[in-house]
Amino acid sequence: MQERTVIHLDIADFAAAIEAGREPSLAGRPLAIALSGSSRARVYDMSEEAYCQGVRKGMPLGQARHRCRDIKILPPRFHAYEQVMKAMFKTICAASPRVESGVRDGHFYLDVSGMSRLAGPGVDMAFRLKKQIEKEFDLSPVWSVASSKLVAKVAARMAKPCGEYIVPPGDESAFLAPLPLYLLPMLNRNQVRKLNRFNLTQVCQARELTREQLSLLFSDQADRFYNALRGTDFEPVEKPDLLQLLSSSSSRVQPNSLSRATSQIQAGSHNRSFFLEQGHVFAEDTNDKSCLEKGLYQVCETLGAKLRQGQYAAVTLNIKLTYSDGKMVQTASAKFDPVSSDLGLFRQGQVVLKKAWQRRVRIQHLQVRARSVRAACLQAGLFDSQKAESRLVMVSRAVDRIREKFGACCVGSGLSLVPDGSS
Amino acid sequence: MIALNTRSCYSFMWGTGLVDDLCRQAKELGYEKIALTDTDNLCGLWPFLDACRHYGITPVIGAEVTDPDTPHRAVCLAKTLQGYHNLSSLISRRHQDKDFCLKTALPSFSFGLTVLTRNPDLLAFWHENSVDLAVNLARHPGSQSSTLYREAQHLGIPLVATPGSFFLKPEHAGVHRMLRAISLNTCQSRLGRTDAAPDSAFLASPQWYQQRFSIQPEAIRNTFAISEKIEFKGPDFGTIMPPLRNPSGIPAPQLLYKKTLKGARKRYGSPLPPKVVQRINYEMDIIREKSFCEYFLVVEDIVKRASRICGRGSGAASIVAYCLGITNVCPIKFNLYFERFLNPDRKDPPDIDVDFAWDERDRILEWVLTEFKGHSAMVSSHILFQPRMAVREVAKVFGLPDAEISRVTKRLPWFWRTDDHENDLLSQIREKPEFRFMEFPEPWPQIMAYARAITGIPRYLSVHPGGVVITPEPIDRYVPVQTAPKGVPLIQWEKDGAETAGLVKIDLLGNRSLAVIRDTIHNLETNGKPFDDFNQLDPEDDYDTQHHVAQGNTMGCFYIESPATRLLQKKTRVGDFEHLVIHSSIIRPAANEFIQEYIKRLHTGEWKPVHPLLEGVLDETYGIMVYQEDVSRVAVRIAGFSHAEGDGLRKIMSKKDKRRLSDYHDRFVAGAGKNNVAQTDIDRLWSMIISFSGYSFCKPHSASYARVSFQAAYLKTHYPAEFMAAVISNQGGFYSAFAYVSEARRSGVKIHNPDVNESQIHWYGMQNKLFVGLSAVRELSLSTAEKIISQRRMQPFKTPHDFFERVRPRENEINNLISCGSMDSLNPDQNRTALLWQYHQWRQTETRKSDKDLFNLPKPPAPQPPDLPGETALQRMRNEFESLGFLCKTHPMELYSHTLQPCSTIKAADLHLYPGKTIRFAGWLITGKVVRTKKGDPMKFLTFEDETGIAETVFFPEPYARLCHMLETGKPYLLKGKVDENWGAFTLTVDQCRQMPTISLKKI
Repeated sequence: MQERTVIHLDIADFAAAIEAGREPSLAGRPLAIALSGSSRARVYDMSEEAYCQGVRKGMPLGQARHRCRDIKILPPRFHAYEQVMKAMFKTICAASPRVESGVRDGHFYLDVSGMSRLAGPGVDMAFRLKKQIEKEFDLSPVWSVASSKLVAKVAARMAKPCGEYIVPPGDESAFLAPLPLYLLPMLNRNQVRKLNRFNLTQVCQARELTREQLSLLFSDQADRFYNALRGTDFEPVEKPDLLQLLSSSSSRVQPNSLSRATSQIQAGSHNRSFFLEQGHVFAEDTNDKSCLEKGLYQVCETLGAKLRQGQYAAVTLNIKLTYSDGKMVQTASAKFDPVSSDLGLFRQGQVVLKKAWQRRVRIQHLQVRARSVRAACLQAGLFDSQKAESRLVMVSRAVDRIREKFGACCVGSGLSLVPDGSS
Repeated sequence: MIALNTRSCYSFMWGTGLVDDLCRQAKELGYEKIALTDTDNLCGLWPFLDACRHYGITPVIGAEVTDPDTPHRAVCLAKTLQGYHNLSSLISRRHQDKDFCLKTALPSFSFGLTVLTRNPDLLAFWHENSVDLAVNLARHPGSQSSTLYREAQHLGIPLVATPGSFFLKPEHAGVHRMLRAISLNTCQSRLGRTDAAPDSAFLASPQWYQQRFSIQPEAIRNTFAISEKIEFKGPDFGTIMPPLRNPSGIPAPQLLYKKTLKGARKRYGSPLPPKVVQRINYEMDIIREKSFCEYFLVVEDIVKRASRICGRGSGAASIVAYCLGITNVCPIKFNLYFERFLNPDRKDPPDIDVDFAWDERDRILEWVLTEFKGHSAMVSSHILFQPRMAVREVAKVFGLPDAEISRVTKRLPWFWRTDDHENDLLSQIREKPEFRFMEFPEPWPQIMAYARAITGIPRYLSVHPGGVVITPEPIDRYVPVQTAPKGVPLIQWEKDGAETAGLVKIDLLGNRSLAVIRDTIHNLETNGKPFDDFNQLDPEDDYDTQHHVAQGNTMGCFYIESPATRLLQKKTRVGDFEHLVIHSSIIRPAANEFIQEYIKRLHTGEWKPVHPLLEGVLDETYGIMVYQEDVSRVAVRIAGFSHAEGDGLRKIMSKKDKRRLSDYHDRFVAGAGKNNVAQTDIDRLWSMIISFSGYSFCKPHSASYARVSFQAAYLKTHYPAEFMAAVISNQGGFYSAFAYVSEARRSGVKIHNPDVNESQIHWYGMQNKLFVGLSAVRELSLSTAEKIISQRRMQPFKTPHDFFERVRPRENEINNLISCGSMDSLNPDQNRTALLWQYHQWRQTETRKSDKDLFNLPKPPAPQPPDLPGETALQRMRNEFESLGFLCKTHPMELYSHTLQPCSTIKAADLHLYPGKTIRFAGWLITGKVVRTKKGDPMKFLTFEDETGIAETVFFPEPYARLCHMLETGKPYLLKGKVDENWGAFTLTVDQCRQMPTISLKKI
């Protein structure tokens, strides 16, 4: 079997690092990212400074505050973390066709086996990637190179909070032997504790157990653990998701000219249907119905214009609400008759918004995703049930033409006249 | 016009106006008569009658009754007392009948009622059933073409104009909508048309309605016609005594006297001492005169069903109650003031409060509610919006996240005195030291304004902790009854309303310490040491007990185990009953400043009364006002108050009724002036009286509690193992099991690990040994613990395999059972790790047994046990601590002896050798209490312990602010500070503190 080379890049405390990069005054200060909306909130991520003062991931927020009095708490911005992950993913994809990324955690694996003639040794590639990420994203990853994902992960854990670790091929078993069991990524806390109950705390101690003995404790997982304890890991670096690639490669950003809000459109192809996505960040987070409907209408106007421009029509809508405390709720509509008029989309959106909007907490961000099909592909209605929508589309098209000629702000719906931030 | 349909804030989460404000505004607007018709309740009846009296308005009693399933509603006005009874019953049905239908239910309760409705489909049916009907035209004249108008015309039913108000002024509409949004868990912008009342639903002037109804002037005239038919001005039941179930037929006074004498002979022996007979006769005369005989007999009937009780409150001053077994302190021996409980001038009925063992109380309550079914219910508590709750709820409506809300609310006090929020809430909050550096951007000013507006508005009804009312007639004739979420019947009045109505309340409360004493005695009996349960034994006369109490060795003892009380005991160095009674009462926030003065006077014996007139009044408390009745007694002596007036002053003070307190102040000043008391002395005495209010106890109450304290202290002194077992098993007390185990160890008791072949579910003691109960094993379910006991009864467990087979514990249960050493007796030769391996072997075999095999192949043998690393002593202790929360054989601080060697620490037992010196001390944090200085800065009293004893420490504001983040109960700390001495008690004033590191495995 060909020897593998796996690079692992791990941006320590990913969410905290992004927040610290965004707000330089936070650098060097204990910082925690937490869904502080609920009374049982737990720490989602924390900076190294907070870690040194005893704050841990998953710890109740109250306890974290108790341990670190001057800790700064910020709500998570999952959307922002996803965006950074996507952009980094795109950068890293240039280095290898086999890249695997985590979810909003700053973890990437690259299988660079057999690429040394093309791109140089794995160690050099890893170093170049680290430099590139530092330059492009102002984030400093820990990196490691080993023959498997497992050993690369353990090596990175050894190197944290900064630096690198290279485990030469053939040294895996010796490298792991003296390490404590909790460094092995496939063992969860309960499994480590279970082994500790038998006074087994180091990898070399647990290695003394035979497969049968391990199966007594872990039944189905015994084989996996048996191999892992010896540094043997065949788990492949998973290929990137095709849809993820498509959507990230075709995304583009454009400012929303109608408000202070920012928005973006993403289009992805999925068989014959397309997804159009439009977001609206409220100038001031709100739980006022008229403000929310105003935001929804603005989103529908932008989506509608795009749909009409490409001769598309929406058949489902999905609304994602991000609340002030960082929680997100997503609700989708059932399939409806195709619509592309602003008002038609807004009416459908109102129904979905009513279902999605279940909490009183103010909303920061509203995102609408429309599954769209080509209008030309649609079968004409037998009983002319689309007559009203057709008339609305004609009105919308007329508005589109006026805007094209005189600017976006020259004409608007009364629904857009609600002042921002009224609640 | 007569306002026949107004609502107050007792229309829960709809109405906004306080009853007093409603009446005041009605008077200002020119109404002479007004009907309070809250929705489905009469909660505001007594405040309404009180306010009407105050503002000179004629009250009309009524309520709006709704249908739970339809929009039908009817305003019912009581014309007569019978009408009131019917209204009360109808509201009770509305709350208690699952199938309640207003349309069909109302006619049978309509006698004595005038009913106003605006539902046209109800008119014909109710008219046919002879209901006295009128059409309710709320706020607007009806259209002549409307169904309602035509139906009314057809049936000849009069039209009546009503305010139909939900709030008092137009500007209160926002507050009303805020309440609706809170109630519906939504935000204001999402309230639907029917979710809130229209903005016009305020109380306008009669002229305004006359103008509005100028096209239907008869609607205004009809209000007068209806009001003239209403003669009922409010119920006057007199004192309603609980009914006596008396099969003997002997009249209650004779029966009470007979039972009292019988009990007295048991208490005092025969023949009865003349003093006793004299006191019984004195009390009986008053009890008879006040018709309280039935009440005593009913309470006696209740308390005899409990294993042990503690009569609390002023009732403990009665020798009759003592002889009946309702209380346990002799009022003659301890000089208790009977008039505090009952006196000929007292208008309101006093109540008897009784504590029961916490695990018996629900059974007793259930017995009462079953025995007097339909005639008994629990008293309610009206839960009002307090500033903290109001700010939180309003901020939620504004959509702020919990974290942002908590940032503010956690700094607010739980309760605010009513006069504290008279002004703008935000400016008051800004003045508080806790908010010194906090910003309040929009929408906080709006939130505070709304919160201020809803503070004091009732939100829902809750169950009073133990108050129960029993009536001779069905209880819903007197007061509407509803069912509380926990299933018990609940009257709609709280204790003050019930008292005003004449309903006599009995308080049945739960108390863990009574269960502790009961279980200790039971444990002793099980051990073959019969104990006479303090029938012949007076624990307060026992020298050893007194000595322990004087030393403050009272951890685990009821009411005197807190660090503050133990320090007081140490400082006073007295352990007799009389002083303990004083100490139980003086330890409370309001009297803190007098404690130092008290100790000084106690030790020096030098003091003189504030004024010569008080000579002899406060002698037993060294001239310091300690008990509630001291207020009455000072008022009687200084200002010439009668006993009833003095008692009235005491009650008003505890209720903080500013208006009436001001009246009392004027009378106090005038009375004292007549007695030639100087103005400076008057002011000084009045400020003492006022500072005394709030959390004070009466002497009988303190004496009654001190009796229980002494019983506990006696048991702890003589039977520490049995006593501590009961304390820990009942999970009562101030401290954790860890602290009680340490205390037991310090008392010379040996702690035994749990054992599956020996332990009970609860802890038990025997021959100075404390056997840890299975209940202490973490994650062990009660069902598994019961299975262990039941299986063991059949046959003791012989091997681990036998145990696994018969008990079949879950993995987490066996982990803890093995870790705490409870399985050691089954396998003495092997280590605990090997036991755990055996469990996993057994479990694999069990799993394989259930596997289906097509070819019936032989099962592979279980793998041989591996050669597992040995368990160190420290690892064993760590596991034991994890599974029990304490160590049985040693104190965890002993494990730090190596680490502490270079630190030159002083042990807790030696602190007294270093007064005024700065020392280092290492201890385990067991409890703490945050208090605030006069400036509002937080500081903390913390209690630490090591293997030798307990150290009380003080963290003043500066070190507390610096160190509080690291202080966590159940952790070891190294402290540095100065040893302070105060009247022989030593405390450590801490300046530096750090958490001790986890002990490394290599250290042992």
